[in-house]
Amino acid sequence: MTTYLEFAVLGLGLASVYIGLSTGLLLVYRSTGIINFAQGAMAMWGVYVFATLYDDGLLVLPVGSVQLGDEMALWPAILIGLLNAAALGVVAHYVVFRPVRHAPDLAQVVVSIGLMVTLQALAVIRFGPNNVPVESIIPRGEITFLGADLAKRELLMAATMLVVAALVWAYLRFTYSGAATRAASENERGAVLMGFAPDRLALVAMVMGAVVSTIGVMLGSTLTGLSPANYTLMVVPALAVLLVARLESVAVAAVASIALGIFQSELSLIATKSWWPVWAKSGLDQVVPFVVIMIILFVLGKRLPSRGSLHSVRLPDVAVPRFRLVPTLVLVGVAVVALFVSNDTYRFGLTSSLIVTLLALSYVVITGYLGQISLAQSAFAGAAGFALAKLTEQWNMPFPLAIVLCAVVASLLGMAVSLPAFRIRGVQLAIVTIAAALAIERFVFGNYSLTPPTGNPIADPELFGASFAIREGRDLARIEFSLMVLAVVTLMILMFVRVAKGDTGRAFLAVRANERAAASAGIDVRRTKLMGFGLSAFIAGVAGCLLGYSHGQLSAESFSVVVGLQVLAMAYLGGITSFGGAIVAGMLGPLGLVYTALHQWFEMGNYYALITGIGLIVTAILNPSGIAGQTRMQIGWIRDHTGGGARRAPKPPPDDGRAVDPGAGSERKEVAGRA
Amino acid sequence: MPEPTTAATRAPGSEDDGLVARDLTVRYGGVVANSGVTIEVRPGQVVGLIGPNGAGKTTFVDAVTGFTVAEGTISLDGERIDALAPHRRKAAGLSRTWQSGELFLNLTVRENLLVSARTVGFGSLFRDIFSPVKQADKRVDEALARVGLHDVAETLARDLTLGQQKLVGVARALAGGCRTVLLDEPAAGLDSNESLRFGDRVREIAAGGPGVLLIDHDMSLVMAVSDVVYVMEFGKIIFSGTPDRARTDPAVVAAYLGVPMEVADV
Repeated sequence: MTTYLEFAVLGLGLASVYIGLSTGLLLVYRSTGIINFAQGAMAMWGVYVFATLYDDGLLVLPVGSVQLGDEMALWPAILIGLLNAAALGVVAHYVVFRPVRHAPDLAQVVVSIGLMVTLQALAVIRFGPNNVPVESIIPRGEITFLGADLAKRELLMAATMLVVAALVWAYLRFTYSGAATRAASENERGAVLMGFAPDRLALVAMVMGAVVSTIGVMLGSTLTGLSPANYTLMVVPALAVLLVARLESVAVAAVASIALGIFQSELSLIATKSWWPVWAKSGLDQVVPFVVIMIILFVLGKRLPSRGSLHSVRLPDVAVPRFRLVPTLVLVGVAVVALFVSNDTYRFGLTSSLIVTLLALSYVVITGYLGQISLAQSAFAGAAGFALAKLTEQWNMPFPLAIVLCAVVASLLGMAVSLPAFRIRGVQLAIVTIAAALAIERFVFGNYSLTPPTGNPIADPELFGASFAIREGRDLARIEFSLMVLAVVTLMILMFVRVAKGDTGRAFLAVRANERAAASAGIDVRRTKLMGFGLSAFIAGVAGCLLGYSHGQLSAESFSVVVGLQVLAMAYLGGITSFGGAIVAGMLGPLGLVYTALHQWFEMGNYYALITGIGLIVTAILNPSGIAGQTRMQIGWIRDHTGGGARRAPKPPPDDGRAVDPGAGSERKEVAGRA
Repeated sequence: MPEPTTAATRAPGSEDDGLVARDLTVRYGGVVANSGVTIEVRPGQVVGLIGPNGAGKTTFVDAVTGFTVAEGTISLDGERIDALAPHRRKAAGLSRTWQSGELFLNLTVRENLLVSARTVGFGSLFRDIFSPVKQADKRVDEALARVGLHDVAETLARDLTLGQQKLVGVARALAGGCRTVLLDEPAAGLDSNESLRFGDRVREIAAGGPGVLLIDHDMSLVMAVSDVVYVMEFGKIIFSGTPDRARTDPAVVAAYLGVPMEVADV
């Protein structure tokens, strides 16, 4: 029994981080209505600054650094770290969140994911990708209680965070601006009419939130060290806590944080018992938050509070695609020529671009057409990839059939993940899907009893005796493989075009526009969502299989949540509502053509993620219809002004020169509105 | 779950024909928005539902079409439909429009109607991929003609006037083929000329077969086209009968603040 007590106290370390992050999330949500997926990444930055200052007196700024003596004393280092966090809060408010405060949910989710990707990439560039140990700022030692040796450090950490949370609670409860924040969170319009300035409240809350979360991570990092990845994704369990607190109660968030921390710690103890199944040992820390989120959403469902806000901006428009033989042949022809003339590196880059196009296309289906925010597409791709490894290596399933079967597996998983979408939508669905993706990633892909650390080998594809393997001898990107990928991707895009302009695509758009009206027009909204998730996951699954073939084996890294978020970023950048956007996304996407070129010409591979993140923020703020949408508007404008007679009435004036990238040219040929 | 009946399985002229909503009660928290409301809409009949603002007319439409929880029974041509989800009631032949339009604003008028005319399921996913069907649909064209919207069929719903949007709502309700249609303030936003023409269209719709429940503030419109009028106040039906009797009924006159109804026209 004493062991359980000791582990409960150890769990308080993690709980402290949860208190910090969830309190920060709550402050931001209550003042702006935005769920800040970048909360963990924001908190991490100040701690990095603190740790390097404390360690060797170097003040690292986003650009450049200043040497301040050999090493800094504890308190000044903490103060400067927190000041950095506060400054980051100010910047995040004015540059990132303020511009999208009245934008649709999707833009707000995308912008915070953009910030998350940016900060993570910046941390890798400025502080390195590896884990940095952080010196303990709280004295160690043990207290003996009921015969158990309890860790003093964890107890002090939790006590500190409870005090911080109590201060936040007091701010919201007793101060004038706190009351105004609460008023604004219930009804922004009302708060404005009462004479409050929600914008200033949002700034204060953003800064406070950043500081509070930074304190939590500062304490927690002395136990775990700091790496760019771990605290960025720590936001997911904190989101679970936030939902338990129904997005409003600091006290409940603190209690839930402690409960979750202790539960996870005890679970890690129980998992060491001999009766605990070996396959269920990995990734428990991510499965628990996911289960919590699912339960909360099913129990509370729609009763989670929503806000009365000032404006709502409509989603990016959709131009229903048409199939045109000549442009399609030209585009495919160009791709074939490009594949033949390119050498190993670029051919591999172009092939990767084609595969990422498919992954982006799955976002076009689910988000662009159906209007549901799914952050789990990489997990669907991964599920298909892992099924492929089993099917081809163990059961010798032949090539094209294996892809179809594995995509069906992904499709079923997609439909399972869509079940919460029956009751929730918007940002809450984003939370569920990112939690699901993370749970799948850690529990399945990262599970050594299911996935050997050496990777899962995948048999090379073969059809009628012809080999479509990616490698043979010294040829690292065989043309046969690339052509096969091109054929599959073309087929999938044609399939998408047919669905998009058919009854199904129309039903998707109807659900996206207005679920209530769709139901009154006879649409089964739930079944339509199932179909959308199924189709989207199927496409992602095909992409996952191709990705698997292209690597010859699978590892968890290929399908990490972060990769999925990068592709979402690219899909949004390209234009989330058209397959043209997916093609642009493919060109820009991870390991794709632009990435390869950046790597080859400028050796700027490190900066790729940073550019991705910043590009995403800028797109979400300035140009929600993406590069493809922008191009389409320009074409429409040209047509209007040359008497071509575009059918669709008022079009915004075109913007100058924002759509310059290699993908836009090819896309221009393909998408041409409806005449 | 009861399957929708087809016209062939029911006896013609039976007293169950059309929509029968019996003893509907809707509670929002402590507020009783509909209390024991009974309304019948026979095939081919135009039934008016009038009452002051907040009387519970839209609540009644929501309850009948399944968008709010209600006690009581609802049947369509003798078949109980009160346990069905909204889209199933639509499939059973019960259509509605919305006071606020609720169109798919970024779809064209034709696409709005097609959503209602086509049934979508997993089968249509495969049909779309392997043997796509044309956009043309006879029922859509008929519905467009019925409300006179052929000219704007390819325009985005967003770009129409409010009056036109209301008509698209009516056409969308008709496009799926319905046996009873509930029109929630379809004429709001029309000028008096358009309103007159709209009255004729409502009569044409009913003459084509379906029963029509018409809710509107334009009293002259409702009185002119309805066969039967129900008057609702504070969630209760206080009168039902012919328009002529409604004009002189003391309870109805009292509900309209003592003003004779010809004067109360909006």
